[in-house]
Amino acid sequence: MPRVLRPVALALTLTTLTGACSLFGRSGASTTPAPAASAAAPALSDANIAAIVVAANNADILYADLALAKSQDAEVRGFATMTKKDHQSVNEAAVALVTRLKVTPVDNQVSFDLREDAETKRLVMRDLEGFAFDSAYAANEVTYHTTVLGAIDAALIPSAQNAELKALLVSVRPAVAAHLEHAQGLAAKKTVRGR
Amino acid sequence: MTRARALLLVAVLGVSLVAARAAVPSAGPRRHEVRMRSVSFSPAELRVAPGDTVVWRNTDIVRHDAVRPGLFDTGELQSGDSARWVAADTGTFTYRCTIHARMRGRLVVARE
Repeated sequence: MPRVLRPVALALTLTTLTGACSLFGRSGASTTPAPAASAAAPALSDANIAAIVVAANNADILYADLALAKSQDAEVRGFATMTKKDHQSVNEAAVALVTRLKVTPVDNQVSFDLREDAETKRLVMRDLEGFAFDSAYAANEVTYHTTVLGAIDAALIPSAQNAELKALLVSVRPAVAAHLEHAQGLAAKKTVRGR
Repeated sequence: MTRARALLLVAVLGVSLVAARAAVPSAGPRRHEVRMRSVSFSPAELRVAPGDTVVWRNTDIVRHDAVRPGLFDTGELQSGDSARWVAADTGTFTYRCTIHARMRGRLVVARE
């Protein structure tokens, strides 16, 4: 697949997962059989979820490192510093939990796509400078956190089997939502029109 | 005992109890806890007396601090960590987490 299509592929993978989970009625709200196409969507094990959590956190740490290396904008740098710290904290907690639970993270299409998407975007943003970089970074943070928040709500929390893993995902959600809110404010200031 | 005398006795006892209660000194400095959770301070506003101790405890998954420049700075608290501060001067003090701009709290230090 051409690199330029990877972000779309990631969004589709996550959308498929979230759609599958809601169609499977994991909340217990629906007993309607899922359509055949959705039934083929991959189910997430706790080991898969662990790999996705680490990959998702590492992706935003990658973006934050790039922003801290390239941007001179105080707001962008402040946001990057915050997200990097938070994602590091979540990764530390996630790794400690799966180690204690003796769960070995198992890579899957979503975790692969997250890593590849992050690398693709890093390469694109690496070539941008000044306001163009800040604008692209902020917009990407909105997209990233929107996608991750959707995945947490519709796929990861409903799929988690272990109660402690589910609790960890629930406790992560407010921070991701806060990042999204902050990113939206940042992106509004960093759009070309708003300049 | 007549009904009037009984009522008078009850009234006198009641006044004595109220007076005695007022004369008892307060229980002394108290300890209050503010939890950092879901990227917010809980409670967001706290009323304390001079001499009381405020403890910030991070029960969130991410790091936080609580800072009022010139008054207190908990430093970064990891999940499970806590920091304390003893209130002295009266006043209303807003504070914030320097990592998360949306996290704001308010302390009201006032004599009871």
